[in-house]
Amino acid sequence: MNDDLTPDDLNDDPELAAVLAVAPLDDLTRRLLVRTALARRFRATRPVGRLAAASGIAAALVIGVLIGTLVVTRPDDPGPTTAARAPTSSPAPSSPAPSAAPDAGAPALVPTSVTPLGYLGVLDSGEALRPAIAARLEAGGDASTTSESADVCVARGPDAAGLAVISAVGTATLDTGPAVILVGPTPIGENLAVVLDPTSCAVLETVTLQD
Amino acid sequence: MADPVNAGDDAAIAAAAAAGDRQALETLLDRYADRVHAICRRIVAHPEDALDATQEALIAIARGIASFDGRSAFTTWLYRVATNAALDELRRRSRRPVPLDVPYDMATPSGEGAVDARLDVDRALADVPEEFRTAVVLRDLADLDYSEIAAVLEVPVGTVKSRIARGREALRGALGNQDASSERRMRRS
Repeated sequence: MNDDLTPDDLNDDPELAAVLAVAPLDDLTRRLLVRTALARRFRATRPVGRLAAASGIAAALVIGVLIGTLVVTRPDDPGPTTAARAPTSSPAPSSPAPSAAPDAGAPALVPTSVTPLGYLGVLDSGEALRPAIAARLEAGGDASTTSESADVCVARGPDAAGLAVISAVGTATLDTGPAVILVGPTPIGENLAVVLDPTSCAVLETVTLQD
Repeated sequence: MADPVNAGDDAAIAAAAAAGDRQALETLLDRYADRVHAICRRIVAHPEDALDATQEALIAIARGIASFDGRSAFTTWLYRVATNAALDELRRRSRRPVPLDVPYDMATPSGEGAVDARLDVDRALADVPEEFRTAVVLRDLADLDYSEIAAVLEVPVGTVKSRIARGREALRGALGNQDASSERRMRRS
């Protein structure tokens, strides 16, 4: 088969190379692809240090105390089993863990560890998210409004937004239209607000927040 | 000791990344993301699927870097991972019930512009058999030499040469057919 080849067949073909050329990725897409790859790599093998283990135990104890308090103080409580299933009185339903995948057919659930920011308003740009988020976090969040699309984006997990953890979620109207805002640290420790399309949960923009 | 990340040498950075240096790994991924995407983009011949393949390739590189032993060039190993990710994406796509020509029909109305040109190249590439297309992409886009392509595809050099020649011929033919059909469309309108 190779005997059929002429030298011309094997010369470089600049025209074909030009046709095949691909434009570089935009910065945002490239960063997200890299961050997601890093997150997958280090999430899989990260050793649990003593400090992390101690923090986990402390968090478990706090949750246990909270659940116990609810069981004892709720007057119309039907029993400890139900209380354990609904550990908070937040208007948003809760799920067992941030990383748990939602059941097929079940509504998307917001993990209880995610601070609800509510609707952050009409903002001129992504940059305007910084003061809006800071003010809402300082006020302890806002659970008065809920958003089904925000719940769906949260349920897709932090990886999908290039975050290590989702610590807060809200909505806003930006110049591009309505948006879901996820807040949290990236796998490399950078604190980000990620602007998502409310329909597809695709990342539209990221804004670095101050630590 | 020189900081391998600042020294900018691929082999040193790859060695540091293989040893668990997260910054070195990030540097490598960031440096090669465009090239990985380009390979995936042209082998998969579909923009969204190519992004999926690129993500899978970068994850595979991040996870597999520890097994990179430096016996081959880092880029050869990287292109092999990228090529396999793209071919895996093609297999996945072939199992999905999506008609391949749906995006291409979108190119018909105007017949000009960047999006149409992109779709025309995709359509032409889709007409080239996968093994020929892969060889052409590695030669004419990634600029690998025959022995590197042979190492990436794990086939003899003679087979690489044959695939490149046949792939180029098929691609030129597919691109030429598109020119002819767009001329016919313009004459009709």
